[in-house]
Amino acid sequence: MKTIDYIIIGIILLAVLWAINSIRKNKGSCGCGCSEGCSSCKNKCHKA
Amino acid sequence: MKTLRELTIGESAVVRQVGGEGALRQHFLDMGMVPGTRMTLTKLAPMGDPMEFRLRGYQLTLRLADAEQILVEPVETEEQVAPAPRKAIKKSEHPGLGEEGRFHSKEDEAPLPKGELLTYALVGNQNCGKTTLFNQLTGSKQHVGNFPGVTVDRKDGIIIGHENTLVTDLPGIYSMSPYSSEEIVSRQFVLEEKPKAIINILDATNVERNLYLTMQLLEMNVPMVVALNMMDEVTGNGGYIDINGFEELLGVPVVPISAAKNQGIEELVKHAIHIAYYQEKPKRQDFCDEKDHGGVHRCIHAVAHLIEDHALRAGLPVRFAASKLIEGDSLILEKLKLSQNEKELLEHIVLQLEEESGLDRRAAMADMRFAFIDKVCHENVVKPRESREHLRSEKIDSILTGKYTAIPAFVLIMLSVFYLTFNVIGDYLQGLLEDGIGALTEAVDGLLTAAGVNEVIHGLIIDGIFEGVGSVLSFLPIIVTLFFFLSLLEDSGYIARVAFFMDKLLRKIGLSGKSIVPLLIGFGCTVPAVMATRTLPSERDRKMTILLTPFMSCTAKLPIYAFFVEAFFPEQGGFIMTALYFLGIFVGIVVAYLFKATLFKGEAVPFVMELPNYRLPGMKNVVQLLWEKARDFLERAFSVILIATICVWFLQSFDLQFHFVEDSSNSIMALLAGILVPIFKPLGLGDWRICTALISGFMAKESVVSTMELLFNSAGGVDKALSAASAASLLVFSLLYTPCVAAIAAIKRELGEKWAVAVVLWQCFVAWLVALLVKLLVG
Repeated sequence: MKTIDYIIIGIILLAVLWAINSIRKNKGSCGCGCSEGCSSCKNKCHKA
Repeated sequence: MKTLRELTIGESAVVRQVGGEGALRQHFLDMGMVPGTRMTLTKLAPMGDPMEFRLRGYQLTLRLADAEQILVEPVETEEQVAPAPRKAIKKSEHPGLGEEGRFHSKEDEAPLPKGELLTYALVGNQNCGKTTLFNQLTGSKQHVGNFPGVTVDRKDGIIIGHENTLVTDLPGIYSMSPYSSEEIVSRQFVLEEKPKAIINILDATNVERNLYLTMQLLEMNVPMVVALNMMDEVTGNGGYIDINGFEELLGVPVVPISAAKNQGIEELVKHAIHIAYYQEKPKRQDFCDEKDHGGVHRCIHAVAHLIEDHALRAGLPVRFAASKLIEGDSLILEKLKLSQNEKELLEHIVLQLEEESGLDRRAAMADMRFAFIDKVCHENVVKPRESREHLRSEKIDSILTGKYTAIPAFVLIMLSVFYLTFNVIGDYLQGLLEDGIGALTEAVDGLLTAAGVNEVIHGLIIDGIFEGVGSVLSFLPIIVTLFFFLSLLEDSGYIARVAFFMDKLLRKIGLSGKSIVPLLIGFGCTVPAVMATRTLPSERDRKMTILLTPFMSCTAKLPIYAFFVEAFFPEQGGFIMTALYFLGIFVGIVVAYLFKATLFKGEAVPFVMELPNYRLPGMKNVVQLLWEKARDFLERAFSVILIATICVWFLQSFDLQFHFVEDSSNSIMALLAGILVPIFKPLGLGDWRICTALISGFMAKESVVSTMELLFNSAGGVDKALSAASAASLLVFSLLYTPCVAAIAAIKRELGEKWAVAVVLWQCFVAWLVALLVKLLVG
């Protein structure tokens, strides 16, 4: 493994962490227009 | 006397008796169909059901079965009645409610502590401009549509320039009766969350119907300001409303505004802040005319006295609780916890009202309210002449909802939308994006090779991430283009018409006309289809529609069909493709019947809907919606799909000892897929490579083809490994099995995790069963 390999693995891990965080927060994905992210949003549009 | 159903087009009649029962009957009354109201049948849907009526200056649709419950007496048509001379309205003095200066008494003021959060409920009828006003007040960018019921849940925002305020945009409602889930949401909000004030928005072009809700809000004894929206349309068409007279009679500040043009908003905010800060409650709650409605008047006061202590203990406004009790509202009765003796007393009082008024309790209350509204309007409103917007709408409707033209026009419009999306604009843009992604992949591939990056990491980036995310990303133009056309149709008011004339057909399978929109979008992509169900008013219809959308064959499945048709049935390509689409619809209908008989018993919600005028879609609104959809899709591609891609790549590339494998038949995926082989054997698909391809299709349907190509290349192609019967069953299984991960994520968002898991299992079961039948039939 070279330095470049470790750098790429680091970037991929960061991307995965961001993706997981984004899924967890479910940010703005309900289309309600709130910029806070669904977990902290006061709108009750995802109460299913 | 005859029923409303028996009227002929153009015929007018006066309502004599409103039948039906429970919440539906209350809804009829709330919409203004009280005894004495003149109604004119304007048109029938192309299939003869529902009907469209004109009453109290607006258009209302009703199903034949509902219209049958209303007894009417035919009268002269509107054209036969000589138009009443335009009355002159004297200008009243300004009562100055909700204002500073000479109107505000410093002696009896009771302001809230400085810095206390001023909370507002924004309440109004459907499609009266609430969300437009909310956006103007808060600077938000909520989607606005020309379709009743765009706001399906509450939304909050701060009034620009007033940090200690919070406005909640509530779903559009017609009354405070608990008829629909929106009405319950709005009523609960005002009663339980106790906003400091209410901003009641009215459509000034149709004050008669809008004031009905206003009167019930006044009974809640919460500080309130009335915003008369669309005043520009009223004055533009020769109408006039005496604002001062209105304010005097209602006992709350009234502000004329035009939310779309941002006119009058500043004054509205000033009044709203004033009444909330000083807690200035409505000056009037008693609307009964003692001469004409003496029975109602005495009944309300008697009930108010009877329940006063209970209402105060339950935290309910006394007058509101009394009115609702008289109407037979069981939720309020439950909250008040009356003793048996008090309940009997209440019943006797209400029976007396029925005897005196000659009407049943609900009709008597509605009649009293509309009598007051008639008085307010008679004294203060000069109705505008028929608006240009309405005349234009009637002309367009003569074709788009005409008896013989509606269905062909609908088919033509939808074909044009799909053709332009999938063959012209979306296809062209998708091609461009694919070229761009291809070039980028090639460039990155070259860079990684030049840098001598590890072979495994190289594979992960190019074969995993770029291949997986790139293939899904290329669908962005299709999604955006499809949404562009659909938002044009919705904003113009056409979608409301489609729901109107498709209602009869959809009711047969237990849905209402409003479900047609998501089902149509499902042929494009299940994700936006599931999201589009938010406009459906009932939870039952919404759930049922979401569960049916995956049966509509989405465009991502087309590459699978094309691949197998070319390999196995090159002669019957067109026939098989069309048959697959129809099979999806057929299975959807069978499943809908099954749902109707089991999970979702009962009828679809009554189709009592207001048809809005056609309007030119606002470009700002459309562009904003497209940006939101694009952002949403991109976020998903780089989150859910990125992770899913990496997982599949990992499982395909490593064995159980985590050694990189050259031959994927030794991979973890092959091992896992091997477990499924016995399940697929009866379908003629007992090959781990097929199972792997189908599993990868869970990520994105397109990857079924790419995985198969990859796995079957060394075996000389898929046609050597499968029989024609197995290929047919594979096609059917691909058509019906679980939607992709993006669609499942959308279902999870709308219905929750349990439903999402249930959809995956249910779809797989149905697909397996139908595929087996096809295998047996073809084989």
